[in-house]
Amino acid sequence: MIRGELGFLLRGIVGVNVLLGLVLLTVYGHDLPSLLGVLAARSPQLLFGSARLAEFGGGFSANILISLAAMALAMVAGTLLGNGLISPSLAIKGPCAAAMNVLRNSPWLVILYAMLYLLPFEFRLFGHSFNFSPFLKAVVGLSLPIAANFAEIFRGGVNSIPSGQWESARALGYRRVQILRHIVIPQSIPLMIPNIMSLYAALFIGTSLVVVTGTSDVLSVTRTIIATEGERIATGLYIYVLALFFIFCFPIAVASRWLELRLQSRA
Amino acid sequence: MSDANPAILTFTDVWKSYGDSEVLKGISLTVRERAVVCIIGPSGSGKSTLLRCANGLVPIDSGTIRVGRFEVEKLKTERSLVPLRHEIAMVFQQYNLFPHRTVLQNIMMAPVQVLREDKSAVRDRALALLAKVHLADKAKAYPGELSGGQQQRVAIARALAMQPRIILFDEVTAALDPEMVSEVLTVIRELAQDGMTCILVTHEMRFAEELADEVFFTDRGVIVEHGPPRTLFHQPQDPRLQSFLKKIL
Repeated sequence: MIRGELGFLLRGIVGVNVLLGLVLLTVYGHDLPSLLGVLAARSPQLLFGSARLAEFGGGFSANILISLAAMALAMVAGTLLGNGLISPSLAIKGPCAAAMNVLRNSPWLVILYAMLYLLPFEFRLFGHSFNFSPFLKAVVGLSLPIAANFAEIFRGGVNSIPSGQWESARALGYRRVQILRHIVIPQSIPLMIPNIMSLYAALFIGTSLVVVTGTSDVLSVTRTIIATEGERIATGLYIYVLALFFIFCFPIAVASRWLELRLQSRA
Repeated sequence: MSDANPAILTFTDVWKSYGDSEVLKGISLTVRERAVVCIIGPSGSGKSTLLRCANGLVPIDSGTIRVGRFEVEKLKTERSLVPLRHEIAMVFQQYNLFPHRTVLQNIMMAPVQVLREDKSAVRDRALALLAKVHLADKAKAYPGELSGGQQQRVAIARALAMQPRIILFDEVTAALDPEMVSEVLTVIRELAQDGMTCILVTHEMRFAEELADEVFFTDRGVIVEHGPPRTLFHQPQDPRLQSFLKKIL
């Protein structure tokens, strides 16, 4: 089965890039070679934020870093929130459900703008003061809706374990927290993984929104390049960025689909 | 013979309802140490609920339940129920083994994680129990690789690993293919002969007749009739029991 998915992955990547190439050809015609020259020359800047490869952390690499940091933060916060969602106490469950629903149903861009104004310029922690850089604001802003989605995946995973598991564990003297830790969560993690991967892919696409925070992500770099090279290059440049996102996200989508199929065939 | 033994489990006027439906309506019964007791009756008569009240899985509305030195209805917190679960184990119709752990781990988990017993001692005990249920060669297998009858025997070994004084069996052969029923019943028979107190909810009438010291017939939340299997099965008094036996035998 993994072979079929690998073939699908290769066909997808080649096919979509050929398609994007054809679009470029139609739009630019005879100018295509010169456009490709510009794209090649600007590639280090688009990928890493600067012309020198030694510097890392801008351009497309910033999108990757932001997505990883936001995902890590969201998984910690989402696990806490998810534990609240499955709490037997209504006093805990209610506020957690409210927070989860608000965050899950808010446009990400709105949350990002809100973070720009809500988060202070700097904050103090353990006697040190830290700057809330645009990068950090982007990470926090994106992690909020992702945490809410992660909490919902966590809740769904825990609830999909049959009640007989709880009952037999109780009969063996396990307490609620022990049942979750030793019996229910270990069984539900494999069920959650495909959903977590899809969530990460969605988050990665969402990192294109952080341009509003002023981080030097791939879209900020793109806009700078258009400003210097002229509007003529814009279409080609955006198609290039599109291809970058696709090449990064598509394998994740394929892998999560493969895992899901494998889970279904086991059950 | 078991009349001489002290009572180990006593229900006194136990009531339980789920919303509007009354499941147990004044159940009183006594089980003596080392006895084998079978509970029979039509489905929905409250048999399974009765078992779940005995080990505190289901809280009761009124009445009292004594298990050894425990006053079950007074144990409200999870922590206070742990010693009771050490005393009274349970085996389920659907086995409910933990599918992510091997057979040996299934048996060892609760004594190590709940009772905090020494791992190597528990391991020796678990291996001995596996041999006892005739599955010594399956220690490293996962539950999903076993037949229903084998899984149920592992579940019995898992219950025994808690070193309980009473085991509750909730229709443990009802989900099994006919050819696997006897291998599970054999294990229960051996347990009973070893002197374990067993309370079985069952539809295996022949097994109940052979093994039970006392049989209780429940219908619509009350114990309609009880007595030694010989009298209960061959000279039933109550018309409800008579018609039940006619249907099932």
